[in-house]
Amino acid sequence: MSLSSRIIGRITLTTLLAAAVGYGWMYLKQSHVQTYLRQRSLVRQAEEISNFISLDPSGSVKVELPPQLLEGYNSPGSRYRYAVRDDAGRIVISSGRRIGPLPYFIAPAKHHSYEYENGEDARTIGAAYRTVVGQQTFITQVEQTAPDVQSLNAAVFNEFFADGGWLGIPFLIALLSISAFTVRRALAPLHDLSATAAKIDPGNSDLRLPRAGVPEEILPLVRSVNSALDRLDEGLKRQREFNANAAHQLRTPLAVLSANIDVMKDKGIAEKLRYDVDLMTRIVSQLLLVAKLETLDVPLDQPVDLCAVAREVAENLGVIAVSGGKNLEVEAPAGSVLIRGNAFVVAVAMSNLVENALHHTPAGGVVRIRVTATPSVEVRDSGPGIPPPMREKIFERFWKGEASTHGAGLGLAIVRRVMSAIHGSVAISDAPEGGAQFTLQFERGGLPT
Amino acid sequence: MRVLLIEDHPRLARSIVDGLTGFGFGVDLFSTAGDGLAAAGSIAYDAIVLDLGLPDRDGLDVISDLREAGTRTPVLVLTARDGIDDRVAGLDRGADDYLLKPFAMKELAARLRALLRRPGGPLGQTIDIGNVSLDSAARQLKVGGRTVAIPRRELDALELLMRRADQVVPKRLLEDLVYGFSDEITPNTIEALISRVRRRLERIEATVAIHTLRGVGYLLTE
Repeated sequence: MSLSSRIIGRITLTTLLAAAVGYGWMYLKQSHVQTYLRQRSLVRQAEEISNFISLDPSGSVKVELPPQLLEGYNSPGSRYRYAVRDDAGRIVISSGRRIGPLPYFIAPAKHHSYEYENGEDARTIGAAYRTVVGQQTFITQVEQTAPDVQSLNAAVFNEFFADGGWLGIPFLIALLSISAFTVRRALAPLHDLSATAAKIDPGNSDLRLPRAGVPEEILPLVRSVNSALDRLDEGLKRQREFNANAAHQLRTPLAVLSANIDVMKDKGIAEKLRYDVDLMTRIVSQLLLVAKLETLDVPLDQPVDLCAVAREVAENLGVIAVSGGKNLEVEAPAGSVLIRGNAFVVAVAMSNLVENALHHTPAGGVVRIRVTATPSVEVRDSGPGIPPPMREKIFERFWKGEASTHGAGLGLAIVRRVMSAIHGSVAISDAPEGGAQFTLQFERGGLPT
Repeated sequence: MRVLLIEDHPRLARSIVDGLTGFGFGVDLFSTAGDGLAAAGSIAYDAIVLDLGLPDRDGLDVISDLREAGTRTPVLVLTARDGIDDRVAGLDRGADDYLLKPFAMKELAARLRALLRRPGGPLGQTIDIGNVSLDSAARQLKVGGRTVAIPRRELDALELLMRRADQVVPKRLLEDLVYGFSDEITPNTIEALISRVRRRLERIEATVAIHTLRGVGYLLTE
């Protein structure tokens, strides 16, 4: 459940609860006041009736109510009824309808109010008034069937609503929109935070969550996440430095081994050992490059002339090609083809492809490096080619730990890393004249030529 | 040929001494920068092989010291540091070549010989490869002891290829050094020149071969 819907839900609930409590309180108050007022008026009515009690000369009781008063009690729909009782409780005169029993009176009081529920679930309120006429005491009872609760509630609610209860609705709406707005505004920096967090990966582990505009309540979280990232970054850096150092430290013993092989008497064994040492040397160099790429130890935004790099790579590998009886050619447009990257890593990527191509090309075959203005670099060999199902796997072989016969697995994995680091790509296809073709596609429009 | 080797790793140093001795070099070994500099100051070596990772000094500073002391001896740097920046730093300080550890002894010997074959170097005047001998001062070519007549530009090209034997010589370098910057040359000029040199060498049964790397350059091997 989202924070804003939780806050909005709770505010709505609180507002409704407050309205209900207010309404309930007003209802109780209102009904109490109403009962009180009604009882007061009943007492007055009883007093009024008792004013008409008289004794005729024979001593019998007479109650002569004026007609307008009688009508109020005797009309068919009237809710009022009365009775006059003598001091023995006998009804002397009444409005005819049933009237409740005489309430218990405390002696000095002149009047008394009461209420009861009769059988039909109707509440009845009543008042009794004591008068002394001549030497006799009379009690006048007036009762009223109270209006039913529902219509009372409705009346009270209407009154409450009319008296300003309606203000609650715009108030609630205003409260909710202000809350929603505040919550949304307060949480907006969190979107920036998550956008930044989404960018953090081993390649840019130095990124940290921004603290600007973040609500104070969330700052401790941002601080803890950032310090956790600091610790991870530190660990990652140490790991990368370890990789770089390990590869670097391997160079000297490898140099000793290599030099010792060169001075061995048995040239046959030396030849075999040389192959393995060369393989190890290549792997160490490539691992160092991976470490360099991952520690961002090389600037990747420099202008690189693909034609110059292709020729340099061919010059460096020319001796290997010629000693294996293979041809190495460069086909490049006159002038330069500029991209943005790093000459060293692009040269390594190209060297890896050319070494791989030379390895798969039989003696007498040709390895061709072709630079185009696309900008791209194609490396074609005259080997057996690479069947389509193998093409994707070939770049991942080293990381998956699959054995590689001559160390090309890591080399090709590095080609892909280098290309992705400089926003390019590498693809495999069939060369037009047979054999495999690796195409390095570079980002277009890196630099004007 | 006398070479000064400054290398602190005892086993690597021993193997390099053995290896280079096998290729016909005389090697003096010192294991610290101080000793090495002192030796370089007292004896005129033909080349210096310098390890950059020395215990007492940074190898790059050793190159600077050598050059400041006026030593013109070519310096070949051995290092475990790769990367273009280290290479540029070494060459900027006055190193002449750069070899990344580990390396093949054959490669070290070939690089040293290329340094020694530079004009003015101990092997720079008369360059001998296989049965081919080129006297760069007398502008004379001998194959199997017999003097061979060769046009000037063919000799210039062959000299360049022989000085850099076993290394690819970029076509552009040949254009610049054989024809200079002022001459009008077409893209085929160098190709035609090299094929004339190649045919001439074949005719007189020279034991060197010139390989073509199309679009790149040429490579002379024995």
